[in-house]
Amino acid sequence: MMKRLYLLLSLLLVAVGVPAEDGNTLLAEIDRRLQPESYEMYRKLINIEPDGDRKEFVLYTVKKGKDNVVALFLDPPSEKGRSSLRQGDNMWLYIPNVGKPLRITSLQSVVGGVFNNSDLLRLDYSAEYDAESIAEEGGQFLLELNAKTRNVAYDHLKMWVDRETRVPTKVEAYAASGLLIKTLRYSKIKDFGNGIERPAMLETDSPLHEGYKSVMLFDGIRERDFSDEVFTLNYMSQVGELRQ
Amino acid sequence: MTRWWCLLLGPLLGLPASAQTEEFSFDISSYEKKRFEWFGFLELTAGHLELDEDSAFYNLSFPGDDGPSSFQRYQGAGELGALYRFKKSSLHFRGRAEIGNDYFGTQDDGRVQELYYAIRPSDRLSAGIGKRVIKWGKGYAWNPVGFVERPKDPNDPELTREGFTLGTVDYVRSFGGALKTVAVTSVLLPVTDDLNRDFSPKEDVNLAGKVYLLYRDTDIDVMFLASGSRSGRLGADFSRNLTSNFELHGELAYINDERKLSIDSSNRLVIVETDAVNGLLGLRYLTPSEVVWIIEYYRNGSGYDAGELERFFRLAKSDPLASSDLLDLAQRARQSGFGAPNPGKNYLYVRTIKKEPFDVVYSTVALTTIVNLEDQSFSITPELIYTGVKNTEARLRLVWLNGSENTEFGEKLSDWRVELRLRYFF
Repeated sequence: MMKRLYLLLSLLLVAVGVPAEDGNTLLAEIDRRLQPESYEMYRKLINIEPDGDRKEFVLYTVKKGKDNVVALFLDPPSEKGRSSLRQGDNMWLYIPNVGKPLRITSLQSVVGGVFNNSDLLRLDYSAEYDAESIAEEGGQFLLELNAKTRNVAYDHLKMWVDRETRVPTKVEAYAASGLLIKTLRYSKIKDFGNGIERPAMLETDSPLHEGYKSVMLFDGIRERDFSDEVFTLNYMSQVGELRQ
Repeated sequence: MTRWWCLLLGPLLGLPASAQTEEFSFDISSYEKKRFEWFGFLELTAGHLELDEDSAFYNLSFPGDDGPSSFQRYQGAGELGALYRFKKSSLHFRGRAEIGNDYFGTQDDGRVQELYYAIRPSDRLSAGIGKRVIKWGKGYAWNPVGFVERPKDPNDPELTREGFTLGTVDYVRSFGGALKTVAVTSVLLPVTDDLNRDFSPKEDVNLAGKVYLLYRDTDIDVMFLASGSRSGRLGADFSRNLTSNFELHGELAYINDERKLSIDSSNRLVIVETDAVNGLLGLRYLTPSEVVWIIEYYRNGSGYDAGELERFFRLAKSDPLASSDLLDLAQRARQSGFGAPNPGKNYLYVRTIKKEPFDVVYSTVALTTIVNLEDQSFSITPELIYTGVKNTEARLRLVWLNGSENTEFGEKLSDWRVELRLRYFF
């Protein structure tokens, strides 16, 4: 009797369009669909000015576990050899000329444009945010996410998720005051091999940077394990050696 | 061109928004790791110096001469870096060549700043031998704990520096819990007739070491330099983000029996041996309007107090004809510490940086102030940086020095100078 009742209730929920999903479970699934927990990848970052002029950066990124990520600039020549390391809430920047890592803040941007350090060294969404609610809007899931700590760059996120592919299509990032800081749009689903099928492009704009746009292109995403010592200050000048 | 046609005709043809957006491409094959890499920059610098003809350093630079009231300085320089990879090891090179012309004539210089072999048997262990730059400390403008490096120029802290010939071994371990990282660095720096003579004239094999901890989200270093060519010293530093936009850092160094050259009340050069405590406390703060503030207080226990500096300045302003001996004495004092960029005891450094002011992309404006807190003299340096042209950087800066008679910045060679530097990276 209980089984039948449960089945009936489930069918009813689906029929009226209320997602029978737990927000945090969905968020964890989104993370795994976007990338493995430990991986390497290449990214091209393009800053586009209102007049169409562009500035491009290429980064090699490796990540391990929930909160270790390091990114190395491969291009342009003026930035080559710079690396940024994140361990949880701690972030450092290594500049070859300066010759030692300096602490930086998540809200700064080492590349200009709309992406900040937190976007470049993004951890899993589920590592930084809790799902407050889940709803359905326009055939997509709409997740309302709240930052777990005050050290997270954005106080809360609104995330629209494709029901079928279970990857985000749009993310709005808000400050604690309710101010919209930026909008991120994922697109161009691509098969990267080894079961990784995810958006290959992320575009962002911000009402705080009227007319400017930044685009991130992803490639070479591959599951790979690294030792913990790769994510230390001592290794920041050596990150390039991890490339194969 | 295609994107303009899309943008113009897209709405008329009823194309979806995605079709109107431009296409981007990314080919990672052009970024494959290579066995050999080279990189560097070329730079041209042009400067104008407006001189302070009554200053001590003017008298030292133009003794008995009717020197100029201003002059121009031009410099061309190039830095080349190269890296050759073996299996688990690599050979690193960095060299700099420059040629300059100013009132004093044409000078050229070329030197190897780094040339070393490094081996990394595992992610935890690495070692290196050769000429190499080692940088310790958390300070931006000064590093009292930089025991095995050439001093930084606080007027331009990011300038590349030359290394010393040394051997290093690094070992690092990561852990879970409050203590996340422990790293140990040991350094062996020999001073002989042919090696590292500018570290110290005293021959010895010098041992230095550092232990780094990442403990409860705080970077902590403890370091030492054993007594040898230089007197022994101990140091510590820390750095921590208190919030996502506020960082605090500090350094403390104790130097045992430090020898420094001073001038006594009878105008004689004397060697003074004393224990010194040097310290720095600083912060980085990012305001909601994205202005970065770097503020540092520097206590230079090894430096000269206002009285010692005043004696030096009086000596340096001696009449070259009537008291040439005194002027010779001042020249020697200048080369032995009084001529350092900041020879005093107490300083305040404030640097404000705003990226893309007034929405001018790829531009940065900065204002830097260095104050000698003992004699109240100061320098103010506004600068403008533009990186909008691919692979280039243009920097325009004005350095204005101000102080009364017998003060540090009041007795510098110039009253103000303006400098334009163009860099091309490759």
